[in-house]
Amino acid sequence: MITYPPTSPTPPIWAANPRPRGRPERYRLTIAVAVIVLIVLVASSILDYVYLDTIPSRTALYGLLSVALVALATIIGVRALDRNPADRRRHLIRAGVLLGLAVLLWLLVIDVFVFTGAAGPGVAAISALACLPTTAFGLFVVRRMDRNEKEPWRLVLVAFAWGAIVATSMVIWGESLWSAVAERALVPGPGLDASTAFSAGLLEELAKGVAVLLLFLLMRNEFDDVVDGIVYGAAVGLGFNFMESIAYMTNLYAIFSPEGVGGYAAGFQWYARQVLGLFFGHATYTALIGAGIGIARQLVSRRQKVIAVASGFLIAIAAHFSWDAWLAFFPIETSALGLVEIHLRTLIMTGPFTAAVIALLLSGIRYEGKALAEQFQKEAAEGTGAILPAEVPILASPWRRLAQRMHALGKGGVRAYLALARLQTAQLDLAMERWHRERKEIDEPLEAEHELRRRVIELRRPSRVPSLKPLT
Amino acid sequence: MPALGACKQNAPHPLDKLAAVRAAPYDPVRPLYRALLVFDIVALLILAVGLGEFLYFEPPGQSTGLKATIAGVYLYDPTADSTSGPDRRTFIRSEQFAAVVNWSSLPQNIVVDARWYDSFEAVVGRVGPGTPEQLAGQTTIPVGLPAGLKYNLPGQYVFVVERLQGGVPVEVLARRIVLVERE
Repeated sequence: MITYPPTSPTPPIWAANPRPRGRPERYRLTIAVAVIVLIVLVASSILDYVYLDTIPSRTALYGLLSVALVALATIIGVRALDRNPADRRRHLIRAGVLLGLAVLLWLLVIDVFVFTGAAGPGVAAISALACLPTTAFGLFVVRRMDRNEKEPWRLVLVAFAWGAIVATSMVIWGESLWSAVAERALVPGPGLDASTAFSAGLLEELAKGVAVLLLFLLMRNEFDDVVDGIVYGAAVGLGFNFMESIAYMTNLYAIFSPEGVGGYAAGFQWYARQVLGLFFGHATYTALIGAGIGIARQLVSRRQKVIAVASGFLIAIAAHFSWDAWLAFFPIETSALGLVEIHLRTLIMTGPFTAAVIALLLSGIRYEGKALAEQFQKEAAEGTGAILPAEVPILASPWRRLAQRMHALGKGGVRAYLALARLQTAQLDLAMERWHRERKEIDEPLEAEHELRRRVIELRRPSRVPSLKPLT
Repeated sequence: MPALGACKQNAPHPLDKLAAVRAAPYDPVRPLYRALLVFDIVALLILAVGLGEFLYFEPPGQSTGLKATIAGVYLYDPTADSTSGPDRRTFIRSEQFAAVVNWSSLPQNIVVDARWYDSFEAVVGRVGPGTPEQLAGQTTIPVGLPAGLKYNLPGQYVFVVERLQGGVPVEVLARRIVLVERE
C-alpha cells in the first residue's frame, strides 16, 4: 500500500496536474510564438490597409481591437486554469466577458465592412445561422472521437475561436499581397492557380496550426497524445471553415442575386462547405497538423519532435495545395450527373488525407486505450483504493463505462449518472497521469498524482456516488 | 601459434553473445512517427508535382522584352460590334465592354492570343491563337456574358495578350485589369 502525504491546508487543486514548480522552458517558446502572431496581425492589418486598401484589410484594421480582446481573454482564461476555485471563477468571468465583447465587436466589424457590403446584414445573419448547427455538430463529433479522455469544451472552443477569428485575420494580408503580385506578374491559368494554391496552403495552414502549437506548448496537461492533437486541430479547422463558409455564401449570394439565383448559389456553398466539406476540408488539414504535434508530444528526441511537428505542417500544406490547385481538373457538369461528380471529387481529392487522419486517430485511440488499461491494472495492484481490481475491465472499455453509467442512471437517476461520470473521469485522469509519468513525459511534481488519487477516493464515497456498484 | 582447439575453447559461446544483447523496449509511438514520415514523402511528392506544374506553365527565362499595345477598354455595342466612349477601368454589371489591341506593334514570327478572365478565372472572351498578322482584323476583344446570365459577374476582370509556345501561354505581353462593380 502506497502512503502519501495528508491533504495540504491550501484549497485542493482539481486540475489534472497542479502548477509545476518554476515555469517550464516551453513557456518562453509560447511567448515567442504569441509575439510573432501579434506582430503578423498588426503588420498585416496596417500594410494591407496602406498598400492594398481592400475591404477585408479595413476589416482587419478595425478588427485589431477585437483580436486584442481575444488575446487578453485567452491570457486571463489560461491563468484561471491554474488558480483555486474562487480565483478561477473570477478570472473565467472576466475572460468570458472580454471574449464576448471581442466576438460581438468582430461580428459587427465583419457585418459592416464585408458581409453587409456584399449582401446585407440579413443574408450574413442567415448564413451564420445556417452554418451554426452543422459546425456545432462537427465540433461535437470531433470531441467525441477521443473516447478515453475527452478534451475540455473550453479548450475545444478556444481552438475553434482561433480558427474562426484569429487565423482568418492572419491570412488576409498575406493572401491579398500574394494575389496582387501574382495577378500582375504571372500568366493566368494553371500556373497562376498553382501559385495561389501554394499561398493558400502555406499561409492558411501556418495560421491555423499556430493554435494547435500554442495549445501544445501551453496546455500540456490537456494535450496527451496524437488523439488530442487531432481533436484540437480539427476544431481549429472547423472554426476556419465556419467563417470561410459565411464569407463565400454571402459573396456568392451578392454575385448571383441579380440573376435571381442568389439563394441557390449560397445554398450550394453551404452544402459544399458545411455538409460535404465539413470534415473533408479544413478540419482534415489542421487535424494533420495536430497529429504531427500530438506524436511529437510523446517522442523523446528533440530532433524527432521537430521533424514530427514539421511533418504535420508539411502534410497539411500539401493536402490543402492539392485541393486548391487541382480542383479545376475535376470539372462539375451542370446536369444531374454533377451531383454525383461533386461528391466523387471530394472523396477522391480529400478522401485519402481524411483516411490518413482516421488511421492515425484509430491507432492513437488503440494505443492510448492499451496504455490506460495497463495503468488501471498497476493502480489496482498497488491497492491504493483509487481503482479496484473489479473496475479495471470496465474502465478499460468506453462501452462498458457507458453501460455502467447507464446502469447508474437507471438506478439512481441523473445525479448518480453524473457522480459516476465524475468518478470515471477522475480515474482516467489518474491513469493518464501515471502513463505520462512512466514515459517521463511530464514536468509536474509527484504531488499531482497524489492529488488526483485523493480526488478519486473522495469521489468514491457513497454519499458522492449513490448507486456505485461495479458491473463485472 | 595457439592450437585451433584452444581458440575455440576461449571464444565466447554464441548464445552468451545473444544474451548480452538487450532488446530495445517497444514504443507504440514509433509506428505513428514512421507513418507520419511516410505521409511526409507523399506530401513532398505532391508539392514537387505542384512545383513542376508551376514551372511548366511559368517556364523561367521566357521574357523576350516584347510589349503589346492595349489601346484601351471601352463600352461595347455587340449589335454594331463597335466600341465607344473613353478608356475606362470600372464598369457596372449591365455594361458590356471590350479591349482594343494594336497587333502591329508585335513581330510577325510569334504566336499570340488575347483573353479576358473573369473574377472566377474563367475565360470569358478570346481571340487567337495566331500570328499578329493573322489577328490584325480582330482588334476588338469583347467580354462575353456567361451562359444563362443576364449581366456580367462582378469583380476583377483581367485582360492579357499572351505569347504562346507549343500551344501553351508562356509570357504576358500586355495586361489590363478592370473592375466590374456590384451595383
